[in-house]
Amino acid sequence: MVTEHAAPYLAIQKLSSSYGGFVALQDVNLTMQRGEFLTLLGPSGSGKSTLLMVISGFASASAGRIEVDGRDLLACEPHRRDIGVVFQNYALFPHMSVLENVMFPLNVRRHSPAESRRRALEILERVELVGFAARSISSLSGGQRQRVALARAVVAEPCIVLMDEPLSALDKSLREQMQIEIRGLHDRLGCTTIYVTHDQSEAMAMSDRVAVMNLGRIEQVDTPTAIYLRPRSTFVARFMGNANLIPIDALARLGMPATALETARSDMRLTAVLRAEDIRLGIGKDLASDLRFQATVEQATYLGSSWMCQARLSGDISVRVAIPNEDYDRSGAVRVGAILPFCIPHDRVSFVTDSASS
Amino acid sequence: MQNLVPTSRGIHLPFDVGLVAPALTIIVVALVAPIAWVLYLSFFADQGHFSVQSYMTVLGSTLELKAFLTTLRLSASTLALCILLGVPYALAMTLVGRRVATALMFAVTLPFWTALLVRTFTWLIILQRHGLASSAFESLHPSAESISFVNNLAGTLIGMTHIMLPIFILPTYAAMRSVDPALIRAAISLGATRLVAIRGILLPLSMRGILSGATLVFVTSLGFYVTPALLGGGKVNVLSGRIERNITAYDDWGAASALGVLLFLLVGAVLIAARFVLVRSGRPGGPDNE
Repeated sequence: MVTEHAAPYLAIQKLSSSYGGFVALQDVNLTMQRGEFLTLLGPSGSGKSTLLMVISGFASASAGRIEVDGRDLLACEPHRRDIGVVFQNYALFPHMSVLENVMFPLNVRRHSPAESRRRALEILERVELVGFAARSISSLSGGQRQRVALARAVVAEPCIVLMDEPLSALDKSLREQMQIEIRGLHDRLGCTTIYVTHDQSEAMAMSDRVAVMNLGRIEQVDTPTAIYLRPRSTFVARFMGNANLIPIDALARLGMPATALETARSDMRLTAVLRAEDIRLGIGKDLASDLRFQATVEQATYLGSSWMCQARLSGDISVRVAIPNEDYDRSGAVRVGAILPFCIPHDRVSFVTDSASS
Repeated sequence: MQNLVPTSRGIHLPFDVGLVAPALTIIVVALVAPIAWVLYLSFFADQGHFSVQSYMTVLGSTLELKAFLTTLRLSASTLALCILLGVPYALAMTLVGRRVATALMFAVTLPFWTALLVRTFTWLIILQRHGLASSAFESLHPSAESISFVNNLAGTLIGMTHIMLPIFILPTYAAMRSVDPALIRAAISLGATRLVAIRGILLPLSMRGILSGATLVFVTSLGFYVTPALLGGGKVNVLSGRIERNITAYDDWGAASALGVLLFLLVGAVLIAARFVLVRSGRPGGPDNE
């Protein structure tokens, strides 16, 4: 597993990239340990794909350094970087069979044909496609193509594997299945992987760590749980799940302990994050450590696994609350216009800095 | 067309025929009728009744057989030169930036839209004795005898290649442009040099365009008349020239028609062979299930 204090395997330092006056990457710093699975998460235009392109050598950096195992990557030509890329639409070679596609990286590295063949078949076995070795690419399904692309990217055991939204073309159920498969393959092969996606649940499900990107910068790099529970900025909080952002001044009026607020203020973290699923209906189980408030229900939507409720506090602040079906039934009072008590434990409230917005 | 008229066959059949009638008429009058007439002449012109005498005459004449070989050689050489010049040119057009590609495209299409005769005469002026080319050659080699680049196979080949090159480059370039650039990037990211990526990915995937261009060049070259006649100066006897001679000099419509039919068959054979290769090249790595 990832050891925290070892020298990083990959180190990106002060990396910037701009083209035509547009700054795509700005002062990006990132380190990775060998074998780590890291996801770059962000909306389109946040720079995550550009970062991938700079690492693979198809976009140039205007400043900064990338080192892999002590080797200066930016000084290498793209074909000598020893990187396996899984492209968004797979980019499989249509005039070659499945086996020929997977053998390609080995052939260009001048392995003997027998050796190439053996290793290609070995990796095809890992992705359960060995029976498809002689098939043409056009005869494969989307999921199978995805696995060929994966096999081709890792077969030469590159120092880093890059994946650029590889699952975006697949439907939801296949996507979830492939998430597990990709992560499983990563665990078996131990390849250092950078994965790009704009889907936060995909990032959460697959990664050792997630780097959330916004406007060409990395806003936060952390484990999925830390990103979710302790977001550092409004952007990260908003991007991950259902977050209510409330200015801390408003929170003070609700009775939040002053000590917590003071600490936050001194760090310039002026916005509080209240997750929709952390807020509960105040039905007889109030604790002293809870922040309590009254709010008017404006909307209640049934989502199947829970109810999503929009509730207005005093003034212009409204919050979304995820109410478990069980609580909804027990209360029996959740309807539009009702004034209900809500509560949230103090320690579930986190404070974040304001992000630059797009 | 059939799907547009979901009524009974009895109603939509005349409707379809009515729609294609003008095109059909043009094809019959302009294409089928003349070919049928040539075919008829090749068998009946000699004695007024059916005979294969015209074919015997043509196939028995070393002059005509030589013309066959010259035609094939000229067409094959033109094609070879077109491939040698055209593939790198189309590659350059594909790989350079948009602005340079537009300039290169302009350089290809400008002669393409210029009349054939004009281009042939231009080459005549450049290549003739004491013309631009030979003056330049003489200034480099003052002792050399004054030489001519026309009235021989070389001159004809230069003219033919220049005229055919756009016909080769355009389909080749179109095929190369339609190859997803991500495939080239993928190849490079997987460790291939640019050259290997071009040779292993871009060229094989453009093969259909290259084959189409090659077929067009070869087939068109087989029937070329003006350029060999003007730049060959009577020394490059191609089939089309022999047909013309048989009519104007010997008034032998039978032999001319027989030559025409044989040329027609040759073109047909080349097209069928090209089609065969094209279909085969369209199926990489076994049968497609799509």
